[in-house]
Amino acid sequence: MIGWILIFTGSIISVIGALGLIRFPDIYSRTHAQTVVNVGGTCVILLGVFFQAPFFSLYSVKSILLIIFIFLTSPVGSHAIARAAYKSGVKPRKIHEDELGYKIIKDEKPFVREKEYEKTNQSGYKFRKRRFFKRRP
Amino acid sequence: MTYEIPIYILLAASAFCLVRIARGPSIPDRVLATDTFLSIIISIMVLLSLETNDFLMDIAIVYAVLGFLGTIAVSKYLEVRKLGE
Repeated sequence: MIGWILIFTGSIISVIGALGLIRFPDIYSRTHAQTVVNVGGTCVILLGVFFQAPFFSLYSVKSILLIIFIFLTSPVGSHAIARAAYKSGVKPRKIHEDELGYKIIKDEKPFVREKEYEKTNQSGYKFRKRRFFKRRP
Repeated sequence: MTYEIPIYILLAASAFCLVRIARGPSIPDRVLATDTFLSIIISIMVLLSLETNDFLMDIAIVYAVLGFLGTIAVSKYLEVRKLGE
């Protein structure tokens, strides 16, 4: 009975997460919906399968293994996707100031001219053009 | 008890993910929606294998590993724009 309740709850949570994947404005908030589906949906369903299968058979041990694997790899994947999106130039929506942009400019200072570096630090509320995404040829 | 009702609900969730894959404005959106779709397919596979005790559970484990590797590979490619580094 516990397994049945957990399976049903997990399926409803994953529907809610997939709906959030459609409704959220940009990719940096869609990573939140992806984590809801991965951890709140799939891991809860696998926990229900663990309770529903015969106790500590090979089947339930496999489901515990899959839970541990998804817990380890889901944050790694979503962080890698968000980082790749920022580096490849996807702008976040509905924010005033991009503070990570300043940090990247500071790190890659030899590729930026000196005047523009100072101008960026003083101007508050604008997105710069994407000079800081240029890399070494 | 049958496991048909959660499978139908999960099919609705995977249809939402397919909508995001079709009209995502950028490439990382599509990668993210593909990862979510893969996770929902894993749970459908596990529920199907609970009823008939066959080998779909092993396929689910291998599918999770391959999906993680694909996500990491695509994000690394988007970051560096060069393969093999």
